[in-house]
Formats: sequence, structure tokens, C-alpha cells
Amino acid sequence: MSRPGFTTILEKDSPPMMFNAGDGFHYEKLPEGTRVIYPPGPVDALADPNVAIERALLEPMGMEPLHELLRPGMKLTIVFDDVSCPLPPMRPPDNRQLVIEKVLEKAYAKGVEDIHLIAALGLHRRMTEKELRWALGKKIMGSFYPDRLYNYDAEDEEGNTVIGETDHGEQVRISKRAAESDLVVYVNINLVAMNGGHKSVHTGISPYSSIRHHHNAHTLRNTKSLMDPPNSALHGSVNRMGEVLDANLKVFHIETTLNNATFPGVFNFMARPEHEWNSVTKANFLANHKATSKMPRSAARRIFQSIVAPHKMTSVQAGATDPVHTETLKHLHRQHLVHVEGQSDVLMLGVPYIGPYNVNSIMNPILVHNMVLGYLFNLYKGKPLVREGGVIIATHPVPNEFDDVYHPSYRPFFEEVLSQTTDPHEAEKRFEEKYIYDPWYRTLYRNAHAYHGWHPFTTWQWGAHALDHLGDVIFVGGDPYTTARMGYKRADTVAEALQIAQDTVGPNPSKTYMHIPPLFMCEVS
Amino acid sequence: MLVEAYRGKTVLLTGGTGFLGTALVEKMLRSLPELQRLYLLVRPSRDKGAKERFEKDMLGSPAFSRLREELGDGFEERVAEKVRVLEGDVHTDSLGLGAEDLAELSREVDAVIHSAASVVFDAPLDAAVDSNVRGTLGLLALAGTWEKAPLFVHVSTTYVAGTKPGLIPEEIPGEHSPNGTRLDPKGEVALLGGVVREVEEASRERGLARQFGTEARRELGMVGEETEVAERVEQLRRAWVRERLVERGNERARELGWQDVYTFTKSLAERRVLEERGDLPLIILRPAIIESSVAEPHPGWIQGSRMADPIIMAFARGILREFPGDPESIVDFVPVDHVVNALISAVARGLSVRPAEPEVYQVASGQRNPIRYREFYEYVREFFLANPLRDSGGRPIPVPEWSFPGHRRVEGKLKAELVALNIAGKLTARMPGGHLKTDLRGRAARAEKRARMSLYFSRIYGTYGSMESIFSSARVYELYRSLPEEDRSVFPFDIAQVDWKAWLQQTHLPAITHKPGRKKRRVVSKERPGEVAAIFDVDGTLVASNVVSHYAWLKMRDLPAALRPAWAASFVLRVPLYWALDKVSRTHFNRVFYKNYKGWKPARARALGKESFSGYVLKRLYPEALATLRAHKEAGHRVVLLSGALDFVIAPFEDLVDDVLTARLEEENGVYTGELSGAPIAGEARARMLASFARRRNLDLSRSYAYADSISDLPMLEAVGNPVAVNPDGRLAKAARERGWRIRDWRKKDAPGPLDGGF
Repeated sequence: MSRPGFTTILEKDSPPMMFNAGDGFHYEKLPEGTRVIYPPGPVDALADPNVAIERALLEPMGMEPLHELLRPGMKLTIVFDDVSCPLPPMRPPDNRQLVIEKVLEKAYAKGVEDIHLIAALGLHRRMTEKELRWALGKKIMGSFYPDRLYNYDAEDEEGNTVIGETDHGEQVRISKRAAESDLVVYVNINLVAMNGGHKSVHTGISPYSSIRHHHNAHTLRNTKSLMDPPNSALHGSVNRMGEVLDANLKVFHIETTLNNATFPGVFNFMARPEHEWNSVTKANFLANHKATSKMPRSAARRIFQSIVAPHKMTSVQAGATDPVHTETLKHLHRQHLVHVEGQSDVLMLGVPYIGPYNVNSIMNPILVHNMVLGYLFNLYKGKPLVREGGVIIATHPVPNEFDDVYHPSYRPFFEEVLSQTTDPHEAEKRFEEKYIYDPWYRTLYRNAHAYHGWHPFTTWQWGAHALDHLGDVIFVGGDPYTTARMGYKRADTVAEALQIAQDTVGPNPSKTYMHIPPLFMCEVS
Repeated sequence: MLVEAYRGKTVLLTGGTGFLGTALVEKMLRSLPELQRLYLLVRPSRDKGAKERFEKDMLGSPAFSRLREELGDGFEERVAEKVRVLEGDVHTDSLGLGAEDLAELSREVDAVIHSAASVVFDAPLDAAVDSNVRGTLGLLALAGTWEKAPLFVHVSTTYVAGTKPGLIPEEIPGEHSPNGTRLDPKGEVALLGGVVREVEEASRERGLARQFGTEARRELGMVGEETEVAERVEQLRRAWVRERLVERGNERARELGWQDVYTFTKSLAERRVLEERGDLPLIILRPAIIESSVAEPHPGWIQGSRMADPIIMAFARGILREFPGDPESIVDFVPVDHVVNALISAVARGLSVRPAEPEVYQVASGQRNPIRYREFYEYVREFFLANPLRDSGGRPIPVPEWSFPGHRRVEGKLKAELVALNIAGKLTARMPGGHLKTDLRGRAARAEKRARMSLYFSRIYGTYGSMESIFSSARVYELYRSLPEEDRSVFPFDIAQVDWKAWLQQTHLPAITHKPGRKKRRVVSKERPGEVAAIFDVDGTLVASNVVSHYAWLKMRDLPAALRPAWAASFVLRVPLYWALDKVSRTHFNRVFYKNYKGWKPARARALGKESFSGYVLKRLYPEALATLRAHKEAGHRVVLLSGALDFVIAPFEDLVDDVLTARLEEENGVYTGELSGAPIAGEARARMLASFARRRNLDLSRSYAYADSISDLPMLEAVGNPVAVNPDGRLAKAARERGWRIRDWRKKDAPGPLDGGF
């Protein structure tokens, strides 16, 4: 049994706190009385993932065992999560490889020949050959790539088909290959509660014409929270689509969860509370801190991006989407949930170097916004950790840097759209169309490894609920230009930021430091 | 009064169906109502009798539209009343007429106007002497026997003066040729007859006959029957004779100081007429270069292709890249209506005066209103710059710029080119059959055609283009001044009143470019407006790459890591070969190089092609190229990629542009054969492909843009109205500068963007 998450109140002689700050760190002593919430330790891994997978396939939830669904001459499509999870990438073999190898074994045994594997990237960037090999292993790649193992293409007019419409008038359009299959097996890695379930198909192998019904400024403003599906308008829409899908298509869902063993030994200070640091841990941290602050950012980024996580599989469940996902959420909560008493005026967050959209890439200002207001803010169940009108203080340099290969439309979004409005609704109304249908963005999405031209709109919208909720956002160490463009404040130190926050929340605010990563969720009572 | 001078008079005209003749008949019918009768001696053509030729060809000509309009129903009546067509030929005895007709002519004719001639500068000697000298003498002899001893009007040319420099007076020729050689006209004609016989005999010599036989058998190969071979031998012999006669005629002409056999035989005709005229009153009328009319029957009326027109058209079609003349020499034009009016006036005078001494009139502009080649060229160039001709694909043809380097240099260069092409031709003939051979042959054939045509023009017209003589027209002017005011307005021929620039640009050039039968070369196409396109080459223009390095990238990706270094080392050795091949022919290079893809699986190629887009192409994409392409797209233009690269490497661009035209490989049993399916998209083929694509899609190439980097793209760039040379190689840069095209260097970091000065 792992250590549960816990809360401590800082005292006068408490050690300084380390913060993640993008491709580096921040280290500062916080005021007495600051509440610090630490994540739970990694939960125990499955003793033998292969056995667990075998069992899940033999005894699925709400559906026949997989082998009974397989027959010769059938059309089988295996869909799997893309490069956006897990974070950081896990040490092979990846959950997807383990699961898919088992599924294929059964399919071969039943004489199934028409098998396609599709990376469910939705409007994310295409996975590279190397990334696919990392996630699936040599064996699968050798047998299927590139003819029968490929990236989903939302912009392929011929490759997508409408299968129906929800009672809210939402068009359900998905990959034609999947729609025409006798069976779709969806293989998930569920890192956070937001993902998995019906969201998988309806974002992973759906084009914009379908995604727009749940990924828009209106829905995302009413998504409280993203990580809490019952209280998420996004998940409401996705579940309606799921009903249409289930009526038309047999989907055998396999979801897996991981523990939060995120960092290898050299970075063990990240997962260990400061008061438990010994001199070696501290020296290690300071050495890393010093080194990353002195070296060019691109070099630091390379080091961080090379981190491979020692994640371990903690559960695997298979069968019908809904019962499977309910079970998955239980396992996720077991790893992630920390009970916390009461909200806070000010929430302090360290911003990690990696998010779902910058694997092997740069976390540009919009992705920083997305990380803080979209992801970290939403890591709650019940009510937000920071009170309405409260302030978030996040440590990140927010450099004015963009990866023009992976995120070609982000810089134009930052320069063109944000210079005129930071309101997600207005941005959507005035600019979205141009970005969606831009032929160059489409070209890069389909043929290079670029996020869809529309993607910055959605990453900006992820913050819609937080923008409504919060009084202010202050970036410690943030670039004055980028933070101002996004409508945020900046400070050099957390102390200075706390000073600035008082203009919004009044003197002597309650302060909480949510000590991430690894990621966890707060159930606030 | 001219009208009165013709009252009750009867005129016999030869050469009535010609350019000058038609204009003369029209004017006489329209403006000389008192003329008693006009006899037209018309030669039957191969498929039409004289009457039919007159009624269909002549009266059907637009020359008569005005008169038809003026007379309405009275037109037929007027023609029937005035004109009598006689089927005959000046070359035959007694004109080929029956006794009755001859008796009628003898009784009636007051004046004979002999306008029939062979205006072929490179006619074989026998034909030229026959039609220009013998025909004239036959007619003259006949007229000498007629009752009224009619006035004989011999239409000649000012160029009978030959190459003699200085002012050429309106006088009968003396006893010397233009270069001062003493000339006995009768003896000379006899001598020429001897030359013809000599050539004929030479052609039957045994050695030559064997040569013809060998050639005929080689041509007909194993399939030729003996009779066929014999027929072919005779054809070859006649062709040889003809060629020799052309040579010998021009040789003799030049020996005596004439430009060619035409002016030589015309002069001989004048001289012989003077000797043989007896008591007949004689007028010799020498027009200079007759061109389209200033005013009558309507401005710009012209028939056939006159002397200057082939040069003008060759210039406008970009064939004649340099002119072998002296820019300061005079190009002596006279509008056809001036010649007609001068002729009518001279004949009227001759009818009333019946001069004892022969009278010579020169209808020319050089003395009183000269136009020089430089001005002529400038007016013409200006016109075609504004109204370029179009090729079959509707693409405007760029006009050359002439620097007038001199006759010798132009010819020298052309001859050198032909020698080189000849050697190249022999070399290619020895090459093993293949694409390169076909390619080179096609190229050489086109170059040779152009050079030969240029050389032909240079030889034929060269001397006319560097004339140092000026034709006096004092007598013609005097004749004009002698006319009463009324006649001057009805029969104007004061050359000083012609504005050459206006006449060329507003009358003559539109006339010759709009002539029926030249539909394809219409100046402005007035079809429905087509779409504007922006055509981009890919390798070197959009992307800093080429098919070789792109292939190397793909191949390296395809190979296991361990094999890559060895493969790369072996591939590098082949690069110079590819480079050299490409210099010879992009087309051939493509065919050879693409064999490297033999055995590749299409799916794998597509996957690698896609991978290369991000791993290779994007990194080499010129940002300015992309910005320009996108600006075109935003402007609503149809963006087309036209590339010699293969479909699977270009495929990723398909979403960015409207159309992609690329090369494709043949597939067999699920793998590429390494052969191209269809022709390589390079050079002329690329332009042809674009032209046919433009027709299908209704693109307006004249308003379209094209971007390319290599000399092999020149035909494609020439096909559009807005060509841009991008990162051009040396040869393309030079061509672009010569043509005044825009040049962009997108390799530079601070290259001007698409918004700097339009696209």
C-alpha cells in the first residue's frame, strides 16, 4: 500500500519549496501558514500485467469475451491513444503494446485477417514512426506499418463518415474504417480522469465537424470540471454521441491506468516532500536547478524531454465503454485523489515541462496557459481548490517560443488573435474559421507532424472556465511580453506575486501550494 | 480629268488576279465609269477555270466589298458591262487564245498593262526567265501586231537597280548591269538558257544518277518496287536540278550586281522590252515594296503575304531573333492604292500623249518620305509588345529585341549554328536508340528549323535590308502635281502624306495579323475570361531540393541503419553522372534516374514520401515561396504545382494547392517498374502539359503567374503573362533579364515578400 497524499502547513523554519518552472525550477521559501498539498505515492503496480490483460479480455464488463467477438473474415480495427499520453512517455513496453499484442494474438487465433491499427490522434499531430515504434514495439510495427498501421486523418474527406446525430442535433462523424468495421477495439491509457470513455472515439477518430460540438468555448465554460465527468458539459455531449455510436458500432473498450511513478531516480526530488530531503537530495536538486538555469533553454528542454517514466500499469479493464470507464475512474481516483479541507484565496502551482501537446516539443505561451488554467486548475473534484475570484500564482518563464513544425498555427494565434481578444468566445467567433480551413495548416496536419490549425482555439478554450472563475493569474519569472499579451501579471518571486495578489484577494489571503508533479486531484470539501 | 481620259478606251490587263491587279481592277471599275472595257487575261488554275477564278477568287475578295455596297444590285451589271475574262496564259503562244478573241483584242485594245510576274526571290532560273522575260516578250510581240498599236505598260520593280548605291533615277536601264558589267540582254537570255540545259544534263550524269539510286533505295528500304524506286530517283533528280537552278540563277544575278534572280530577270525583261517594242509607246512602272493600302478599297486591304510580312511575322513569332540588315537603310514601302492610282494616271497620260520615248515611273517612298529599318523595327516591336501573338496554347509569344549586329555576323552565327547542329545530328544518329536520342533529335530539329528559317530570311531579304540606294520618284510626283485638284482627291498618290507609324500600327499590322487563315495567331483573344493561375515549380523553387537528394533521403530511410553508409558511398559516385545527364536533358535524366525506384512498393513510397515532407521538405521550404503561394491563394488564383518530381513526394502538397501535375511511375505486380508512365515533365513537355491543362480548365495564361528556377522551365515561364524566375540558374537568369522578367531570390533571408510590389 502506497503512502496517501497529505497536507502540511508551513512553519517558520520549514524548508524552501521547489517549484517546477517549465524547463527548469524555482526554489523559494514560502510564508508561514501556507498550506502545501503533496500527492499520494505510487500505488502498487499489477503483479503481472499480461495476466491481468488476459483476464480482462476473458471476463469483460457488459460485453462478451473478446474471443467470442472475433471470427474469420471480419473487419477488425484497433484504435489506440496517441502520443499525448502517458506523460512523460513510459519505459517500454508501453501499455498499448502489451494490450494490443494480446488482442492480436486472439485475433490471429480466430483467423481474423483484415486488421487495421489507427493512432487516435483526432486533431493532434501525427505520431512519428519512432513514436509509434516506442508505443507499440517492433513486432507490431513490422507486421502492420505503414499499410495497416497509420495515423488517423481528420481531414481526409473520404476517410470519415457520418454515422448519425444526437438528439441535440450533434453530428457524429468518425473514421470510415472504424465505422465499417465489425468490431472496434479501443485501447486507452488513462492518465487523468478527463480522458477515456466515450471521449476516446469522439475526439480520437473524429473530425472537426464532430469535435466542434463538444470542444467549443461555450461547452468548455460549462465544464466544471474537466476532470470530473459528471460535472462536465463536454462529457455530456460526448456521452450523447456515445449512445449514437453504441447503437451503430460494436466497440470493445480496453482502458488501462498507470501509477504516478513519473520520474527516474535522478529526478527523485520531484516526488519527495522537501522536509524529507536529505543532503544528497538537496544537492541533487540544487545542481539540477543551477544547471538548468545556466544552460540554454533548448539544451535544458532536451534533457527534460528525454525523461522516460518508470510508470507501471495499475489496472486494466475491458468491455462496454461505460462500465469500463466507471471502473477506470475508481482506479484513477485511488492514485490521484487527495482530500482537502476548504478552498484557498491563492493557489500556487509549479508548471511542469511537459503537457499532452508538447511531447518532444516546446510548451509555448498558449500551452502554458492551457497547462495552468486548463489542466492544473481543473485537477479537482467537487469545487476548485482556489475560490471564485481567487488568484493562481504559477511558476513558469512563459518564453516567447513556438515550435513552428508541431504548432504552426500557434504563433499566428498568439500574434493575431490574442493581440485583439483573449475572450475564447470572441476569438472563436472572429477568427476560428480562418484557422480551421487554412490549406497550409491542413497540409501540415495531414502530412507533417503538426497540430490542426484550429488546435490553439481549443487549448485556449480549455481555460474558459478558469478565466471566469479566477480573479487573477500571476506568472513567477514570466516573460513580460507573453504574459501581458495573454492578460496575465508577472512577478520575479512568489513573495512578490503574493504581494500583487493582495490587490485582488485582500490582505492576509489563505495560500495553498499544490505540489505537482506528479499530477494528482483534490477533492475539496 | 482622268475619267475623261479613259472615255471609250479599252485596256488589257495581265496579272489581274494578283495583289496589285485586283486593286487595279477594283479601282478602275469604281472610279473610271467611262472606261469602255477591261479585258482580263486569267490563267486557269489546277482546279478552276479562268471565269471561276475571276468570279469566286477575285470578285469574292474583300477588295470588292466596297464597290458591291456602293452599287448594290448594279454591281453584277457593272462587272458584266465592263469586264471580259479571257482564259489564257502569257507563257503560251498567242496567249493561248483563239483567233476570234485575238481579233477582238487587236481591234479593241488601247493599252496593255502587263502586271503578271513571278515574285519569287528564289525561283529556279528557268521558271524566272520563263515568266518574267519570255512571257513579257510574247505579249509584247502580240501587241505589236494589233490594229491600234496599243500603249504597252510594263510593271516592273524599283529593285531592278540591283545593288547599285545612291539615287536611282526614273530612267531606262543603260547598257550595263548594276555593278557596271556590260550586258547584252538578248545574249544574256540565251546564255541563261544554256545554263539551264547544262544543269539538266549534269543531273543525268552517271555518278549522280547512282547517288540518287542509292538514296532512293535507302529511303524505300526493302519494300521499294523497281518502279517506285525509279519514280523516286526521278523526283530526287528534279529536286537536285531545281536546287542547282536556284543556285545558278542567284549566282549569276549576284555576279552582275543584282540581289537575286527576281530582280535580275525583271531587269532583263525591261531591257528586252526596250529592244523589242518597235513602234509601241512604252511605259515602265516600277513600284518599290507594295504593302497594304492606306485608304482604298478599304484601309489595310492586303492580299497574300507581301515582301515584308513574312519577316514581320517571323519576328512576332520569335523566330527571327536578329535581323541581318542595316538599321539606317531605307525600307521602301508603298501602299497598294498609291501604286494603283499612279498607274492609272500614268496610263491616262500615255493614252493621250502616246510618248515616242519610253517613260519610266518609280512609285517609291525613299526619296520623299523615307522610313528606315530602325524606325520600322521600333514601330513593329511596339505594336507586338502591346499585342503579342499567341501560340496554339493561347500563350503570348515574347518579341525579340534586335541589335542589328550586321548582315555578316547574323549569317555567320546562323551558319555556325547549322554546322554545329549538323555535327550534333550526325553524332546522335550514331547513338543507340533511346529517349535521349529522341530528345536530342527533337531539340536539334526545332533549333535547326529556326536557324534555317532565319538563314533563309537572311539570304532572301538580307540584301534588301541593307540597300544603299534611294529611288527617285520625281516623275511620279510631277505626274501627281499635273493632276487637277479633283483627280488628286479621287486618285491620291502623294507618298509624302503617308504617316508610316500610323499606317503600320493602325492599318498594316492589324491587317496582317488578322488575316483570315491566321486565326490561330489572333492578336487578342476575346473569349470568356479564364481563371488566373499561379503555377509553381517545386524543386529549387518552393523547396531547396532536387530529385537526387530527395531520393537519397528516402532511400536512407528505407535501408537498415547498418547498410546506409555503404549505400551512401556508392550513391555519391553516381551523382556526377546524374549531374551531367541533367545538363544534357532534364527529360532524359528523369527517365534514367527514376529507374532507381524500380521494385519499390507504392504504399511504402507513399509513407516515405509523407515522412519526407516533415523530415526533409519542410526544413527546405523557402518561407517566401510559401508566403507567395498563400498570397495567390488568398487572391483567389488557382494554384498549380507543376513538377517533374514523382507523385508520392508531391502528394503532401495536395491540400495546399488546387492542382498537382507530376510525374508518375508505372506499377506492375504491386511494385514500381522504374519506368515513367507518360512523358517526363520537363522542358517543352512541361509547357505543353500546362497549355493543355489550361485549355481544359479554362485558365487565362496571359494573366497567370509562373515561378520556376531552371532553364528547363523556360518554355513553361514563357507560356504565361507574368513569369517570375526564382533562384534562377545562370542560363535562366540571363534569359529572364533579356525578357525583362522579374527575378526573385527566395534563398536569401530578407527576400522581398509577396506584398512588395504585387506578386
